Formats: sequence, structure tokens, C-alpha cells
Amino acid sequence: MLGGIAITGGRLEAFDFRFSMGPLSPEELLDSATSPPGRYVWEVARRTLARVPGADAVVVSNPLLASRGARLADLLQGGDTLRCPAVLTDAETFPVAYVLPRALFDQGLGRFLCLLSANRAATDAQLLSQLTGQIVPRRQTPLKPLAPLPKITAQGYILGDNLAAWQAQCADAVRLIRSRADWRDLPFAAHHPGHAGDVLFFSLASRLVPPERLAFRAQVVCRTYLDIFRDCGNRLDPIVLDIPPVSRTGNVSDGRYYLDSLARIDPQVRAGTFMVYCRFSKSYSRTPFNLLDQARFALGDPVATLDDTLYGWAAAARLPLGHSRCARPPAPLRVLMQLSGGWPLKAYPARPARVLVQALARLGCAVTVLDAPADLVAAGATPATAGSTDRLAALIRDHHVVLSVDSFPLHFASQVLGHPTVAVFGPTFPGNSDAPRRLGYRVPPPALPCGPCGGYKACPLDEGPECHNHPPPADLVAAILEVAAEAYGGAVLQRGDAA
Amino acid sequence: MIPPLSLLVLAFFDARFQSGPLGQACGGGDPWARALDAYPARRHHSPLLQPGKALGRYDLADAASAGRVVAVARATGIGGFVLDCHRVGDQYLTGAECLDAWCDDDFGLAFRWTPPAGPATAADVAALMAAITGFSTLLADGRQVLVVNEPYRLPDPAGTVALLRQAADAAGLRGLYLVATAAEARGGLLDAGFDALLDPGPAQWRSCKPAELLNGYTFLQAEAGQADGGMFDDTIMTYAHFVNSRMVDRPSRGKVLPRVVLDYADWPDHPQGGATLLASTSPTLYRRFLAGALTYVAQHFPEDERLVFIDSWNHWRQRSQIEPTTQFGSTVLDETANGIRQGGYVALTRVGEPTPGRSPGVDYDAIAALCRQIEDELSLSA
Repeated sequence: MLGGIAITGGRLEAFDFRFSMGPLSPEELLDSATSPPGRYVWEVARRTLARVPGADAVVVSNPLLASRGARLADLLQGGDTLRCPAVLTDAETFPVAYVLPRALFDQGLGRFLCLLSANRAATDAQLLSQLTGQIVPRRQTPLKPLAPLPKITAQGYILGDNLAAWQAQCADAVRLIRSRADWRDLPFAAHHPGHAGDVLFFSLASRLVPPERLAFRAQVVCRTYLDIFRDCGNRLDPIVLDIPPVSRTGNVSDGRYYLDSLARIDPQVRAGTFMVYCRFSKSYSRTPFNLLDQARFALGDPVATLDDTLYGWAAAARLPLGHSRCARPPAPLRVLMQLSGGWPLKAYPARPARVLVQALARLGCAVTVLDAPADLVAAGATPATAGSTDRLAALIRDHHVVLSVDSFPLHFASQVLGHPTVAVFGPTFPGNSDAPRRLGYRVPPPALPCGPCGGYKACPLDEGPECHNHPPPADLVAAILEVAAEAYGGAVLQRGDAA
Repeated sequence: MIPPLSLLVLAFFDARFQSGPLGQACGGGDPWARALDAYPARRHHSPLLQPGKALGRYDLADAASAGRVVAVARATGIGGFVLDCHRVGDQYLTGAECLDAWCDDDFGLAFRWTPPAGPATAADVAALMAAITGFSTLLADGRQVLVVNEPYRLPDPAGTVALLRQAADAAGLRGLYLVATAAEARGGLLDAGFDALLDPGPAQWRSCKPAELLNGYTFLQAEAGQADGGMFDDTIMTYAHFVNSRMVDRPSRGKVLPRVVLDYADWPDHPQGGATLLASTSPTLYRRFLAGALTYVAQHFPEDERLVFIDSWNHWRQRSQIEPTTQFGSTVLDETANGIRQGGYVALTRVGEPTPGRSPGVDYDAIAALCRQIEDELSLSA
């Protein structure tokens, strides 16, 4: 719950906004794991001003905290005369809400609120002071001290090192504004350097956000993923990071990685760019929204209605989807598979994988498996390695159908190339990263209702190393034949009938 | 615009919390005391929860109280209540009259009938129709929804279905949408004329293994009175396994509507053992269960028959209620609303997706046989 208050000539009107679980009603906000809390300050302020267009100022609660508008109004009522702008704090120094003048938005400076730390009132006050040219007081409220905060807030924010990352982005912004007279025109860079799928989603999002909404002009990206950045048609300028992507094992947090990576970015670039920490500050599977929509929100698009989402007609019509097809004759059917993903539990289990490969081979299909283990080669698969998006695209176009677990090749084939694809989801939630429904695309239903489980190395239910939620091989074989028939006509189906 | 999906979430509702005719017929006095005055006798029995401030110990005979209950349910996204038909003398009482004033096209009532032992008689069925006629009812496929509980008690299911339909016609109803409580279509109930089936409750259908299987050593200990013997008498299932067993491979069970359960513990009615208990329940998993059920019916059932049943709104004595509690506030109600929203959204994202296993020209049986054969070969070679 996020509170917003419109102040019009001393009159307060309170509004409540909540993180949506799907319907995206006018009181709901798209829950984006890749948006810093400041992005929600901007969005709530924008929504509040839209409700009360004549308001002189808005007050927005700190997105890290669950706070109703009515509670904010209570906090505003007591004490000294309310100043605007101001940062309201608890009985100590933690920011509870921001009092923002309307002029900030009229001047088109709303996006700078993305840079707020949301956890250090002094730095936030300095930022607002630089933006408004006024002294911004910190006003204590009677609210009891909020510290110690939980590791994960009720709003889903994972704190830990993220707090330091948000502080750093805010402090850097204050320094930059102080040092540059042309700060209003400097670009914003989304710090979202990896992994492969994440870069793909941000790249596609950059193409979907309407130009007038796009708050960013650059994105920090690891050199390892620069080919993805380019081949997915990212509209932002790359700021290349010459260090390996953050480890998936969690031994280095995203927040710590952000702080460490700043030193590896060209100082001249940093001296002319506002860096916004856009790595995951929540679990992205907390809500049903697609990562592409979560990235769009982070980049400035409100994604305010169902129609605006990836699955709505408005956005789907803008989706720059290719229409890739294999030029080879339809028989034998050539199937390219990616059976391992970003973390161990995403991998399609070894034994069903052997059944899948053998079944397709006996149906006369030619099966290629990316980074195939020896047992799949023994089962009849041809091993292959992609290495780059060029090579991967060539491999995909050389096969009639792609079957992939929730991993980069899946998203690249289905969302960028528009190739006939079967998507395989196990421990992750399909809606977070699948593609809009179309001919030549299938998501066989997961076998169980336990996903998304958040499991990394082991199943949270039986503690085994494999996810049993992956669809069984027979469902995948059927889906491959269905997709092939839709994309290439009936000829390949004869193979299925031969079974 | 994204077209809206017609998904209907119903909740089983105990209308005996009233001082009106149904309350009087069920013994009078304080129905809340009757429901909640039970104390755990075993260490694995979780105590019953207490009604929270939001609704409190309401009396449905009080119109304002009934209105509050319906308003809270509506706000949660629930589309109606399923009321039990209680046999009292030669008539049935449902308590529907208390709620009906607050119902309309967006919130209606359905009914659950537990047939008497032996063949149903025309008089009995006529009395049933009299009890369920004249209210704002929930419709599926344009017909009034009637859930038949424990249909295996019917000696002649087809005859009873025909009798019910005749009586409905005679009562002026626009037809009945008959739902039998049964886990799978193999029992012939659909052939007997039922329109759909509904997952049985946890005590009626134990398809997942008990969470605690005690060994012989503990058995001897319990027999000697040195361990809690209740562990042997009661069936305890972990919630995660329970949810999985309800949702796994659903299409193979036929036209079975999902029953979503938050919690279940019927130990107050089994003081001597034999209770069914869910362990390690989780509101988050419950939300996923509910969202998954909505997605499932959206994908597999015709537009007018997409029903999901929540068990229950206020079965406090079985600890399955989703109403606000003193202990947990409105957490569960919030998760219910979230689950309904989430399920509705996910279902919308899948509009246009073909129903799995329905493409012409793909021989699904042959593919399944081939995969089984390879499985067997791998097992033999291992």
C-alpha cells in the first residue's frame, strides 16, 4: 500500500495505491522488481496529480513502507507548519514521506525522483534541494522509530545491500547536479548489466516504451551481453561494463555488485550520467506480471491498465516481433533444444530429457541440444554450442522448432525472432517471462501447482535436485508437433501420426 | 480492450450463525458457542480461531450484519455463497432469506444438498425445490447451481437426477446445473446426468500420503500409553502435498471443478480420533492454489461453467474459514482477493491458447505410448 496526498490551498485529499496482483485497476500500480523505490514516488505523485489536477503539492509515502494516505494525512496534521518541499521522517531520521511541489512535475523533473535513496533522509533532502533550488527541511513526525527494518519489507523490497546502492545513486546524483549547470539535460542510465535474459527484457522494453515516456537514454550492460543488447534492438545507448556479470549464487548481492561496478565505469561517463540502480530489488515472481512489463515500468512507462500490458492488444500491436522460419524442407523435422537454464533447478531433468530426445529421434526428428550432456548425445541428440546471438540465431533458423526451458534462447526465439517455439517452465512462473499467445508458440502446462517455488538448487518440497513441475516428455513431443503443424503446415504432422 | 473473462468464485457458507428460523431449528442458543467451544485434546490439534473485529460474531437474522458479510465477500471478489440445505421435519431450511436481500446479478446464492440415506422421494425433492426457489441464485450455463454432496449415497443417481430436474421444472426454475461431489468422472455420475463434478473435501478424499507415518517402535510406545495415540487415529496431510495432489494432472479426471481449501481440521467432531488435519498450511500457497484453480477452469471449461469453490467462508469448526480472525486479521481474506485477481489476470494472458491435447492430426495416445515404452526400456537397462 502506498499513500498519496494532494494538497490544494491547505486542503488535503488522501489516496491509496496498492501493488497490483493483476487487474491494474486505477488504484493499482504495476509491481516491478527492477524499479527502484524512487520510481514509485514519481508514479504515485503523477497519479495523485492526475486525480487532483489543481493541487499545489503532493505528499508521497516512502515505497519501502506500507502506509495509507489517511495515515500520512494524520502525520501531516500535527506539529509545525508544513513546508514544501520537505522530507518527513520517523521519530529519528528514516524517511517516511516526501512533500513535493507541483512545480517539480510541471518542469518535467519527476524522473529525478527515481534517484531518491528512500532510506536516508539527509541525502534525499539534498537531492530535493538541488532539484527545487530551495532548502528542504527534514521534519520529524510522531511515528515511532522504524529501525530495525526487516530483511524483506511488506512491500516485497529486499533491503540489505540494496539500501547502500540506493544511497549511492542518490549521493552521486547530488554531486552531479552540483557540478553541472546542464544537469537537467544529462541522460539517465539504467544499471541493469545482466544476465542474458534480463538484458533481453530491458532491450525489448526500451522499444515498447513510448518515446515521451522513456526516462532513460542509456543502459549499463556487461560486455558479455553486448551482442544481446544490440541484436535485441535496444534503443538505449550502451555503457559497457568490463567485468563479469553478477554471480547467481548470491555470494555477491546485486546491491554490492552495483557499488563495486561503479568504479569500473569510465569516470567521464559517470561525470555526465545519472545512474539508476535497476537490478532486482524484489523477487520478480511476487506478482504475475511479465518481466518485460516490469522493465517497461522501470524505464518510465506507467503500464497503468491491462490493455497496456504485454498481453493487451495495445502493447502487443507494438511488439516488434519477427517472423522467423526454417527454410529447410519440413521433413525431417529439426528440433533445437535448450534444456538447462540460469540455475540448477531450471534444468529439465536428465531422465525425462532422455525420453524426450529418444522419442523425437524415433519419430524421425533430428534433435540438436545446446551444450548437450553425454547421455543425451548417446540418446541420439547432436550437440551444439551457440556462443553468440548471431550463432544462436543461425542455429534457431536452421531448425524448425525450438524447445527451451526458461532461459535466454527461449526468450530470444519466441520474443525477438518469432520462431516456432515450445516453452518449458518448471520452478518459475510462466507469466513472468513467457510470450504473448500466437500461432507457433506453446507453453505446455506445468505438471504441478507448486511453481514459482523460488527453489535454486533443490526442490523445496522433496529437497531433491530436480524439479518435478516440468511437463512430461509426452506433452513436449505433442507440443512440438502441434507447433510444427501450425508453422509449417501438415507435412511434419505425418511424423506424429507415424507414432 | 482486453475482453473480460467470466470466472465465478463461490464460497461454502454456514448460515446457522443466526437467531432466525434456521438457528432455532438447529438447537437455538448461541450458534457461535456451539461452533467454537472445542478444545484440542492432542498435541497435533491446532486450536480453533476466533472471529475478528471486522465481522465479529454476527447474527445473520440481523439484516445489517448479513449485509456486512455479503459486502466483505463481494469486496474480496467472491461471486456468491453456497448454502447447505438442512432437513428439518418434512421441509428444508437454508437461511437464504437472511442473505437474499443483499444479493443481485453480481452476487448470488447456490445450494448444497446432502441426500438422505435410501432412494430420494418425490416429496423430499419437492421440499428441496421449495427451499431453494425464489432467491437471487447463481447461474451456470443459465441454470441454478445445486451441489449434491455425497452422491455415492444415491442408490440410483440417474433416477435422482431425473427427479430433481422434474421437480425443478415443476417449481418454475429455469433448470438445474447439478454438481456432484466426486473426484473423477469414472464413477459414471456425468453419465447419470450431472453437469459437472466437484473435488470432495479433505475428509472425503485423501489422495495424498499422510505427513506422519509412525514406525512400529512408536506404535508400541503409543499402545503402552507413552506416546500420543491420536497420531495413529488421525490423518495428517501436509498442505503442500495436499495442494499438489488436488491440482496435478486434473484434465485426466474429467469435468471436475476445483475446491480450494485454506485449512482443514475436523478434530472437534472426532473426539475419539479419526480426524483429518492439514499441516503446515500457508496463505501464500493457498493464494497460488486459488489462482491456479481459476486459470485451470478458464482454460478447460466452457465460458458459463467456470466455477471455483472455496471451502469455506465460515466453517469455523473445521478451521477452514477465510473470514477475518482475531489471530490473523484479514490476512487470509487479502490473500483470497489477491488469488482471485492473480488468477483472473493469468487467465486473461492465456486467452487464445489452444486447449492442451486437442490439435487435430496429432496422435496423443501414440506419443504417450511411445514415451512409456522408452521409459520402460530405460528402466530395464538401468
